[in-house]
Amino acid sequence: MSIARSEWAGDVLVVGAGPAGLAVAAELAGQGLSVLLADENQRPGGQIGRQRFLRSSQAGPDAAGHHDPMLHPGITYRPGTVCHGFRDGQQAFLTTPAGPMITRTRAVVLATGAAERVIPVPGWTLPGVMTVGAAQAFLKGSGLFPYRRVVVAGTGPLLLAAASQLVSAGVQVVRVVEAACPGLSRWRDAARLVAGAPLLAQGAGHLLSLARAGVFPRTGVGVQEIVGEDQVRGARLRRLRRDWSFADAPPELVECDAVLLSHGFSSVTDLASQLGADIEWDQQRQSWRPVRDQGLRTTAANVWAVGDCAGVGGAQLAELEGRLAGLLIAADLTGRPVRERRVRVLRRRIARLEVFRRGMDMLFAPGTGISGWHDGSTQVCRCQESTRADIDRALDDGVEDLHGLKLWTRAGMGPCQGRVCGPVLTAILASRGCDVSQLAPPRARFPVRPLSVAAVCDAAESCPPSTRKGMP
Amino acid sequence: MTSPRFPSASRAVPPATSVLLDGALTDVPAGVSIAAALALAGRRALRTSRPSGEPRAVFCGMGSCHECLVTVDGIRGVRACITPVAPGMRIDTQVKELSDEHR
Repeated sequence: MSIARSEWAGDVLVVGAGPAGLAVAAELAGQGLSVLLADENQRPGGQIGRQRFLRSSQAGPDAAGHHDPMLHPGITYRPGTVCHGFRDGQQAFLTTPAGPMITRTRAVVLATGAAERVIPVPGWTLPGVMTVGAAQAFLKGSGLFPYRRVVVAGTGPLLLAAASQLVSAGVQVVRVVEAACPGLSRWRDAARLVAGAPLLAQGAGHLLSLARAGVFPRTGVGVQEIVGEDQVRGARLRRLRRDWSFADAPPELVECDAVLLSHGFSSVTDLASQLGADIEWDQQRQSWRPVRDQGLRTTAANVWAVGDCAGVGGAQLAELEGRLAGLLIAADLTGRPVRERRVRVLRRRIARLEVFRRGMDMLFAPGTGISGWHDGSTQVCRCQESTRADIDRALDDGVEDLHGLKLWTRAGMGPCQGRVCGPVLTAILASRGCDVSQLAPPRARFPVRPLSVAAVCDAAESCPPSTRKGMP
Repeated sequence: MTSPRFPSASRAVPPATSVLLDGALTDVPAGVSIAAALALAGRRALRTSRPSGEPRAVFCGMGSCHECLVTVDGIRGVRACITPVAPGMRIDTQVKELSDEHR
């Protein structure tokens, strides 16, 4: 089957149709600019708005209130579309369900969101171990969850939300364990920052519905090991100290067939990095992120980054950033004056949410003890099966950064391109005394997502010679 | 061995569609992800890791980790978690190939 390459030329390419991407696209289109909105998923809304793939009149009660956001006619929306990388801030290579696509735009907005962070423990590659977000995707996307007895472990408010969703779907949640156990003084500092946020009420609601099901979340407990031969049979839970290292107390073996893990989120920076934008370490969020100016512009020409991919802050913050960037980019491209009043209002609301975020990050920041969670034979890189012992050996041999680890141990070289192991490798480096802020950031190269040779050929065959020379 | 029955968030039964799952005609709910369809069919592991050959299943559920790769209509490396089923779709997992080899 030969698929012709398509081209799209317009004002702005927006990558990612979550809250940030939708907001920026709407703002730009509303000001008369042409926008291509590309997203890997089948429906707009991102992970937070994830739902059944097909609109179905028989989808039942959960279909009520779930509608795809109405897209402005100035937006060309391409679902199921992957952005593999850029030649520069104006030309991108994508694959759509209909074949490869090359775009030429005056500006690019990255709104690629975040990936869930999971700290490896022995047994974490067994079928039945997944991120908390993956369980939510099962529930939201199909209304089913394929396991019966579940342990939910990790850190952050997502644990409670997911556990209560599972309970209402009829799944038996046997334990919910939160690793963090903030001391009184930290609670006091954080409480000042998060006070009054609606999320607190939500959290209380989840706790209540869990209590009704007889589930009482515990704090300061982690998963020491997940046991099973070719699927999950149980989890060994153990008390954690304040720094998240395992306490001396004996572990408790809990029988279950699934373990859901979540230890926060890391910004997906691959496209920004591939574009040559400067990437920096964000100590508060324990994540890499693209450097941005006040106008949310990266250091790469014509490239902006908004939402979780530029610093995890949640859907509400992402949407506000998208609107702000939309206003500023529109002014930039049209030459019309910036709407100062709206910009001021948005900046004020963003600042308030960032204060709240600082409080949350303070409560749920992973402790340094996580570097002791994996034993020597635990795979740190799931794609290449590089173990903790491999990583330690490389570090003993003098490797001192992420790039070196990749070359020596192959960690980060697989299809996920380090999106899973990157945060873990960074934490291991930090635990060995490395100053992460001085570390060279992870570098992504074209294509940042696997690309079939056939797609490249399809694109090249129909390319004019000038383009063929330039496209990777 | 009990037949797979799953807790369900929505009571309404969605329309079914037929796919060819590792060569067997299987009815799955229309519009769900390949990952969900495979789970409904009682499948857990979707592929085996390289080089050690461990069973692997859905991990991130959002297209990031690439653990759920399956072959769809002959095209390898399709992410089951973010790809919806379509009528008549041929879905092949690596797990079957492997168990056949071992026999």
